[in-house]
Amino acid sequence: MTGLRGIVARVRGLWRRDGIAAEIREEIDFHLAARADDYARSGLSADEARRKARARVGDVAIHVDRGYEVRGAGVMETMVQDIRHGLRLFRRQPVFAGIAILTLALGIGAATAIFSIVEAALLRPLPYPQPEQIVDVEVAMPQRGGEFVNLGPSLDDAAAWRRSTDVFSHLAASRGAGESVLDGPEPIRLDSFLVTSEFMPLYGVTPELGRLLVSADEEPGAPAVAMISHAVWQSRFGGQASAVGTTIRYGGEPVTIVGVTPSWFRADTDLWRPLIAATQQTFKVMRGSGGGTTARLRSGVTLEDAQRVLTTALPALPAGSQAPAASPRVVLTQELEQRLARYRPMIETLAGSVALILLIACVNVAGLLLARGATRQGEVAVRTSLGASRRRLIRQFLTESLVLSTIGGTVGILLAWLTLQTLLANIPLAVPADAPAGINGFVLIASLVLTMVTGTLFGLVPALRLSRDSLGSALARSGRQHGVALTRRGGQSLITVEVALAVVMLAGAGLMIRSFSRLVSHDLGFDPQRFVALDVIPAEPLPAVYAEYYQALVRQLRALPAVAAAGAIDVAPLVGGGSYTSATADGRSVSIIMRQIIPGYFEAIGLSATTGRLPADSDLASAEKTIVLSASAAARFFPGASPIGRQLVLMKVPRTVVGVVPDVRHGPPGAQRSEPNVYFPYEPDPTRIARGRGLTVLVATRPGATLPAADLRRVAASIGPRVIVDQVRSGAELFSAGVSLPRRRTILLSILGGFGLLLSIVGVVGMTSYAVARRTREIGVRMAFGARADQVVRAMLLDSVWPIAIGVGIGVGGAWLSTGVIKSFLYETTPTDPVTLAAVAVALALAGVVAAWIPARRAARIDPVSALRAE
Amino acid sequence: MPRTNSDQLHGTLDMLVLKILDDGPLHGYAIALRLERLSDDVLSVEEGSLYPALYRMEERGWLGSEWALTDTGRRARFYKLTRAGRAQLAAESKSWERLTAAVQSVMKA
Repeated sequence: MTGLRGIVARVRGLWRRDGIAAEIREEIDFHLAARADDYARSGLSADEARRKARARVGDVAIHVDRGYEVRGAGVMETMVQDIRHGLRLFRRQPVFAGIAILTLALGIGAATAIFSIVEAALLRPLPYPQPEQIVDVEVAMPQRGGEFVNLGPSLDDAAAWRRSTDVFSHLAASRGAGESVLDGPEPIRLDSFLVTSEFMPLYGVTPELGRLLVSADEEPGAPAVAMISHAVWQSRFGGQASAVGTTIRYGGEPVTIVGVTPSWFRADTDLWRPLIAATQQTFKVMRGSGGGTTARLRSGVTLEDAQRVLTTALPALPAGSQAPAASPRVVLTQELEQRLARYRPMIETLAGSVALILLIACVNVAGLLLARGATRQGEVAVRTSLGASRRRLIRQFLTESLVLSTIGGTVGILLAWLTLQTLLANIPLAVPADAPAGINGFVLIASLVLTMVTGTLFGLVPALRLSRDSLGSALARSGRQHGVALTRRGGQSLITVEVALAVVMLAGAGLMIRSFSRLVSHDLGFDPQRFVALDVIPAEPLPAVYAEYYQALVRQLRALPAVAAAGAIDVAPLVGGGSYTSATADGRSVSIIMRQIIPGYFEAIGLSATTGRLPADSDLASAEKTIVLSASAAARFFPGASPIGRQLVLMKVPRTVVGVVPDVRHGPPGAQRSEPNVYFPYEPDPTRIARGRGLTVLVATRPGATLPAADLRRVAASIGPRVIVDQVRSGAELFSAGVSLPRRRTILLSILGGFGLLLSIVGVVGMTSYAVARRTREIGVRMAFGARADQVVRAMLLDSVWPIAIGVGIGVGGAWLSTGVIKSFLYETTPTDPVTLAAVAVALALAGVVAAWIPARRAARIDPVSALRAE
Repeated sequence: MPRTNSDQLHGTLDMLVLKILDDGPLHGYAIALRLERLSDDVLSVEEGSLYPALYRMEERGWLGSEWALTDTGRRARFYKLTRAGRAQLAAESKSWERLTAAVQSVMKA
């Protein structure tokens, strides 16, 4: 049978038992007929010959079965057969199958969920054409001591590059301009960005409506124009085409809308305005002034080439600046890579945790398979005696574990799909809103590959071990309950591995928890529980309006019966930020943070003066300018002397020190140490006001009294000018927002650590139960010889305690080496914090011993008589 | 005539089949007959052991097989040695000779 028919038969044989079985049957039938012919030739009748031949050959069906067992040449068909066989076995042992599938589902589910989020946040290509050619341009400036600091180039640098090089196709400068008020019936604050005309073309942006910004818009004296984002277009202009051409009042000046940016492009910016070089004096000449430069390299130009060319073309430093030993050089970073680098520690941590969970799951299931393997010795023996090759057996066992992992993986992917939104809300990675994370094709394929790898990983060891038993030894032992599939030593090693992996995971979680508890229990110098913060600004950006408004608002609030104190400050505590400047006293210049306040601020946060007095309302109107220093500022300006009554020059104005207050941590919790602060009465600044910056009003309530946010909003709106009340937040909420990122990290790592702990405890329970079951007979003998129950339990326990102890030791070592990954997440906690590592070690040792003790107790209940009879 | 249990002959049966096929392709029944005849009916092989052994050796690559017509015009599956099978036969005969020589020298002593 050659040619086409042979091929057809062979292909059919891949799928159907019939093909091979029929071939074997035909072969045996021929054998039968040939023998009958021989008998007939020796003189028997045809009937007699056939009967005799049949008796000699035996049952043809059995021969077909046995032959089939060996040949099973149809790969697919064998697989189907093995899968069926596996499913049958799992149905017969539902507890085993359930635990194994659940373990795998948790492992694969966690991996899938995390991966889908990482994929959405980082791996998905940027929505720009050839994103790899977009680079961020920086200049590495040499510092004293041989170090370099990367600074954004100045506009002059960019102009020089444009004149003398052509390595890029686009070069654009940009800088954030913060929020300003968009006036109207319902005034709001909008965030804006200043960009040069090539910025949008660089990213391949085409306007959704209207036109892009062009270089003519950057000429001094050109009419003020802006592009608005898709979201603003929808919310403020109802998506009407007439929005283009409309003139709005933004930051107090009229601006004409010329276009709308598409929704996929930088959705967090509301408004785009031309960057006009003439109004950017610092950005023009100074590197690192806060502006950024982005370029798109010409195709074919490498990063290194461009760096060299741009470095050569870098303008000389302005005359008069110190010439450092090294020269500055240009550093280009792919935007893609920059994004990756920002999240690298988090991703490494997540990937590491997920890998550990998966490993623990694999070890668990491998242990279960090995333990269960003991009950399959008989089956192995029978199949071997029928001529099944070792390869065939390994293939069967591997198929079974792949079936297991496929079911587990499917359940896991389902779990990931169900919990993804919850996870997403808690995961500290920025996922673009217009490209949400999901179980897409890419994630699905990755998960399936992972499932297959997992199945092979945990199935290989049991398959090799179970199939190794030679025919004789398996048959000899098949009558007995225990086998050699999982030796005592083997079970112990698995316990060690699981405990070690769990220690590493828990160490990560423990460090995060310890760091977080330090962060939230840190003494801020004031009590955030006392006050409520109200973000409000008048819609009209005029200094006079601002000065009057805040004073009036504070007066009105104080009149409320529930209010104990009210004041205001330019940057709310716990939010971070402030104006850095220097002030002079006694010829001594000190770098300080200046904070403008409306008196009542210190009373509202519960701070009193250590020397002198707090600012009073009378200071606002007084001709003499007054100022209050923080303790560290007082010590810097007037070391060893009383500062009260002394003069201090700030912003060219001499001010008299009237009081000293304690240092407080003004920034977000854990962000910075307290720095020298000076506080003086509010002097509205037109530039700040144009940027939408006002004051935050702080209100402390009387004990027992409540002050609904709605009341605050009503009072704020009732003063007179139209206002924008952005947020009303309690001090506790501000604090909580300040620690939200570390909190999310801590919760996430704790959940993952808990997962690891749970899985490894399941593993220890499983291994110990199996050890007890395996040694039933031995325990029976011991008890028959008079061993007490507690001695037996102790013996069983000791068998697990050693591997647990070794696992804890290895795990602590592993944690010591690997927790450096989360170093950047830790606040005042070293990655090898001995207290945490010790606590984790003790916790796991205890958990492990309890997990071993539960099944070990069962040993005491073994009845020696029945245990011996069972053999 | 005591029949020899084929289960004890696992490796030996393989070697004998290889040896028989060394002379040229044969179908299963012919192999069984040749085995009985060559050993003067001392060795008899059950069909239940012969065919699994043939399939196993085929899977290991020692044998190749092909359907063809017999002298009497019946379709039968013919087995023949592969290069690997020839090598295996050489190796097994060598170790067999060593073993029998050793046993003989013990028995004569």
